[in-house]
Formats: sequence, C-alpha cells, structure tokens
Amino acid sequence: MSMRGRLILVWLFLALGGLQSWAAAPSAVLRLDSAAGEFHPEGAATVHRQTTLPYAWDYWRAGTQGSAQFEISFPLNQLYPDVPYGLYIPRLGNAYEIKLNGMLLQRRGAMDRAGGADFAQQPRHILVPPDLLTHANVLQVRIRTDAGRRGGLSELYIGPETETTKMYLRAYHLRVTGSVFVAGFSLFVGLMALILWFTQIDTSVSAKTRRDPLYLFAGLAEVCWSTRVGDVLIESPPLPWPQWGVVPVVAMAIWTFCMSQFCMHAASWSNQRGAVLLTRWIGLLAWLSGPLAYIALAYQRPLVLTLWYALELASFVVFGALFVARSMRRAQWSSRWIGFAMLLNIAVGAHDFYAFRIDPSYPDNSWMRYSPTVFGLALGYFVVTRFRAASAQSRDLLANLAARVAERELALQESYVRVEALAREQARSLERASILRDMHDGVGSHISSAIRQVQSGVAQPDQLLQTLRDSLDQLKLTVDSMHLPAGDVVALLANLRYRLGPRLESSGITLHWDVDLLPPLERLDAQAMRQLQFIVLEVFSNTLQHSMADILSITVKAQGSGLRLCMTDNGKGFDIQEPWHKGLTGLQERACAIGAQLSIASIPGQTAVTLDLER
Amino acid sequence: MFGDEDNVLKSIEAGALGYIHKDAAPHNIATSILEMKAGASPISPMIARRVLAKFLTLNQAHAVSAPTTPLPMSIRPLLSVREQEVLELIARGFSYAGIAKLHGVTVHTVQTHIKNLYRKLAVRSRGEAVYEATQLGLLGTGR
Repeated sequence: MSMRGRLILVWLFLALGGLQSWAAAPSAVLRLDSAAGEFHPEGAATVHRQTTLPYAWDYWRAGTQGSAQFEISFPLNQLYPDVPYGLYIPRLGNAYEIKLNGMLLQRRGAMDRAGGADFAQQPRHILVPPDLLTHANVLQVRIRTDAGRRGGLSELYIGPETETTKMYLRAYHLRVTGSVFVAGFSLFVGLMALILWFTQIDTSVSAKTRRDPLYLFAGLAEVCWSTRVGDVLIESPPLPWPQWGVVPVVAMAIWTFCMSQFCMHAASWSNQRGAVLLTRWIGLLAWLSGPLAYIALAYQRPLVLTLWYALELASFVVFGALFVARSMRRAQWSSRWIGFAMLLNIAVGAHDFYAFRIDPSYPDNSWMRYSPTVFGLALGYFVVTRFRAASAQSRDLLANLAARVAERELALQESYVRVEALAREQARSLERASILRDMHDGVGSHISSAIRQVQSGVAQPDQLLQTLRDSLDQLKLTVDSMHLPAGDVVALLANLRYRLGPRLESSGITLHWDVDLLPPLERLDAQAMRQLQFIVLEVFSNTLQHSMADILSITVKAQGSGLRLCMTDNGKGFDIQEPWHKGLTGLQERACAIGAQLSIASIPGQTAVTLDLER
Repeated sequence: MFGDEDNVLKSIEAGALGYIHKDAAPHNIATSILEMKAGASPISPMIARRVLAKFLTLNQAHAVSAPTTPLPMSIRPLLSVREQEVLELIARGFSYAGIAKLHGVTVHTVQTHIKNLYRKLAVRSRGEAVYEATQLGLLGTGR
C-alpha cells in the first residue's frame, strides 16, 4: 500500500468518523511473513514450498479450490512473557484452523467441505496463553479455500495483547464498522431517493415522464451498493459458493449502470447521442455481469471476471473523461461535484482492480467500499439545491399570485362602484318614469278631462269641481305613496281612508274599518306599493260610481305569513261571467305584477274583492 | 297640502293645536275651526305615525339618559298607554268615531287625547329649548 493510498484511506476514515491516525506496527510486535507451505490444490499434485506471506490463493492457484498448511517458526526472547500475548491476523480463510506448538487455538468453518461459510471476511485476533510460548515456537495454520473467494493467509502479528488488540481493532473498524456505516448510509440514502422518486410527481408533464428517473437511478444504485458492501458482514450467506459469488458482482454492475445514468440525468446529458451509446454499452456490461461472474466462479475461469472488470473500468475511464470535460465547460456546480465524485471512484476502482485482480499481494480491504459515499453526498447536495430552487420558485409564485389577487380585487371593487352607480342611476330613472306615468294616468288625465269639460261649455260647475278634486286627490295619493314606509300595507290603507274617506261619506257610503296592525311586507317596494294603491283606489271608485252601495267594509287580517285584504260592499253587484271591464282586467294585471292573488265574488247585495299577499 | 308632514310636525312642536289644508273647501275650513274651538285636533294617519315614532325615540333616549342626567321637565310618562293606543289606531286608519266605539268612550275623549298629545309635543320642544338655553347661559340667573 503506497503512502499516498494510506493517506487517502486515513482521510476517508477521519471523514467517516473512524479511527485516529495511522501508525506503523509497534516494535514489540513480531511480524511473521515467512512460512513453510504445503499446498493441496484439488485435482493437482501436492506442492511443498517455502513461501512469503501474504499468500493469495487466487493469484497462485487461480481457478482452483483446495487446502494449504503453513508452518511458521518464530523465536521468543522470554520463556514466559509477563504480559498476555495476542495473535493478530489481518486475513485468512475461507475456513481455517490455527495451532501453536501443537495446541489448537481456533478453528472456523468446515475444513473438509467446500462452498460453505466464508470466514476470510473479517480480521482475527486470538489471545495466546503465555504458558504455550517457549524460546522456539511453531505456528501451524491450515486453510481451506474456495475458488475465486479471496482465500489465503496474510502476514501474522504476535506480541503483547494490548498492542495486537490495537492493530486488530484498527483493521476491524476499517473493514467491519466502516462497512456497516457505509451499508447503512447507502441504504438510507437509497431508500430516501426511492421515496423521492415515488412521491415527487410532476403532474404538468405526460404520464411517462412524471417521475424523475434521477432519483430512481440514485436510489437503486445506493441500495445495490449497500448490498455489495454489506457482503462483508455476511459470513454464512444464504446461497452456497459459487452462486453467492455472483451477487456482489451483479450488485456492483447494477450500481455502475445506475450511477452512470444518475450522472447523465444530473448533468442533463441523457438524451445526447454519445450518452445513449454509452448507456447501451454499460447496460450490456451490466447484463453480462451475472453470467460472466457465474462462468468465472463455477467453471473456474477467473480471467473472464478480470476481463469484465477491466472492461467496466475502461468504459468508466472513457465515460468519466467525457463527463468531466463536459461538466467543466458548463458552469454548473452540481454537475462538477458529480464529475469529481466520478473521477475519485474511477481512481479508487483502478487501484482496487490492480490490487485484487492483478497484483500478487493479498489486500485485506478494498478502498472502493468507501468512495461511492461521495455520490450519496453529491445526491444530497443535488436534492438540497433542487428543493431550494423549488421553494424559491413557489415563494415567487405565491407573491405573484397574491399580487394578482390584489389586482383583481381592486378591479372588482372598481366595477362594484361602477355597478352601484349604474344601479342608483337606474333606480332614479325608474322612479322618474313611474312618477311620470302616474302624472300622466292620474293627474294629467283628470286635468285633460277638466279642460274638455270647460271647452264643451255644457259641463256643470260641480262636475268640473269634482274632476279637479279627483285630480288633486290623485296628486296627493301619488305624493303620499312616496312617503309611505316600504311594504306597510296598513299605513297605505290608513292614508287612503284619510284622503278618500270624506268623499265616500259624502256619497252616503259608510266605511266599516277593521284593520289589524300588521308588520310591513318587506318585499313590496315603492313601485309595488303604488300598484296596491291603484288597486284599492279602483275598488273604491267602482263602489262609488257603480255599486249604489251604502256600506263598504275594509278588513285586513294576517293570513299565513302574509295578509288578506277584503273589500266588501252591499251594492247591486254584477255578473262576473260577463266580459270584464277594462278596470277589472287592470286590477288583475296589477295584482299579478305584485305577486298577489286577487279574487272577485259578486251577487246582488254583496260584492267582495279579496287580495292575498304572501310575505 | 301634501308631503308636508314635516311642516305640520314642526308647527305642532311650536305650539299649534291644529291645521287646515289650503285646499280644504270653505265649509270644511269653517267646520275645522269650529271643531278646534270645541276642543278637537285634526290628525292624519301619516302625522300619527310620525308622532308615534317621535315619542318612541324620545322614550328610548330618555330611558338611556335618565339614570345619569334627569331632564329638567316632568316628562317621565311621555305617552300614556291610552294615548299610545289612540295614536296606533289613527295610524291604522281608524276614525275618531271608530276609536271611540272600540274603547267605549266618546269621540270627545278621543279628541282630548289628541289635543294632549299635541301639547306634550309642544311642551317637550319648548322645554328642550329652555334647557339648551340654560346650558348655553343665554338666560339670566334668576333675577
């Protein structure tokens, strides 16, 4: 591991809240890296060979499974150390058995059966009983390996337990705690992104593009990465080897594909021709990952998988170069961030590819497990900027809306004022018209009659006087009706009696007055009151002129919510079947105009006009 | 002659006890004068309505102001029950004779009620004038 690589790792770990600074192995601890090896590859002859550690089975015995035994001799100055000793092994397996001076210290996994649990995932630390140690010691390590499962034996460290524990914990945190963190983080980010994808629906576009694929790809990528990294934590997988070996490869393939799509969508690059070609190519690689991984592991052709990794790496080098070049040209910070994240991942991927697939070293941990975290951060940045933009937009929209509502309100108010003025004007002109009509029909016609009477020269003075009195009465009634309280029928009748009572009495007609005090009928406006006045006036004048009656009784009683007005005389009556006089037809029309029911009943000796007014 | 209830009311408040329209027939004018001399006061339903309204508002104002500032005049019962009934009947168009019949009294009693009403209105306005004048310091200090 180069110095720079270590620095990056340390930086990453500090960033993830991990351990303190990296330190070289303390001198009190012995590093054991030379062993006498005895190798039993399946289907081949046993080999005896002195070997240096670490020993990567997949490099030296590519494509095979089998077992090996290492004998490591080491001297010790002290016969019985006065502090507890510890043995720290960064990586060994897949199954293993450790003996010290012939005494079994630890055994994990089945030594005689292939394809089971994998105990090479985590570093090991074993307490060594001080009694076991002598001046010359022999460590016997037996391992059983599955093909392509990164079996082997790393260098070993033995020394005071306090020191070895520190080394072990450092490695443990890097590989296990870090993986738990990354897997958890990725799963959280992935689920959040999927929830965003599911819930953020743009209803303004067609059904096909309503959901933003950016979130879908980011979510799937993060979930896949969580699976890939979480593999370290699973010693006993649910599937046997080599089937289980396909899972992390496929997870990584889906991750690479989804990540490339995420990057393209984030940089709005997904619709261009080059991007479409790259998408197809990376998609094809992702499709091939499963079968190729299975061939490599089950049919013992590790080169196939190496080639696949190489193609992936090469594709992403091209993709990354194009993407970064493009994002640098455009001044978008979110897309620059993503370009940076991609470059970092490609570099780390290249390192891991070299370390795991080409170099004979036996690395205990991949760097790659940490680097995709920056994509999660980039996604977070992306989401935050998006939501900021969206909320700014909605604020703008709200302000705009409020301004428009205020504008409309003002316009409405102005139009109200205009409509009110119009209505007032209309009411005035209606009133004027109705007064003019009253003048014309009432006073005007009487005065014309008076003029004709004078011109004819045959009219008697008392006839002329009567006509003029009538005209004055009309005028009074017209003016009175303007002062009547709206809808007050009782006041109207009282007023009529006051004005016309003397004339009726002078004609020998006695009024029987039975009027209850009733509340006004609000629905009758000034116009309706005038109509009502005309109806009663007409009845009075009919009684006066034609009936030859000597009693006229006026009755007003409450009827339901309205009232009933009865005007009955004891005159000679008339046949109501006869074609109606103009006056009677006029009565019906006026009653109809104010929504009243008019009924007339007449027999000799009694004529009754009944008017029902509803509230 | 018409639409002049305001003037009539003002005249009554100023102390008039009756009024005759200018369009009245000569014999009617004579009758009215004779009736007034005999103690009658004419009143139209419109005027009755206005008088009624006026007394009602005065009553309310009095009810509101009474507890704190008792007015100088003895106007506590502004309108007797019987007077109010008479006013209401006139407003409903009943004749003096009709009212007399309803209440089982003579026409003369009804006319007396009306005359009393007129007086109350006049007294009330005169009292107000004195009260206002006192408030403004227009009247002497009793010398």
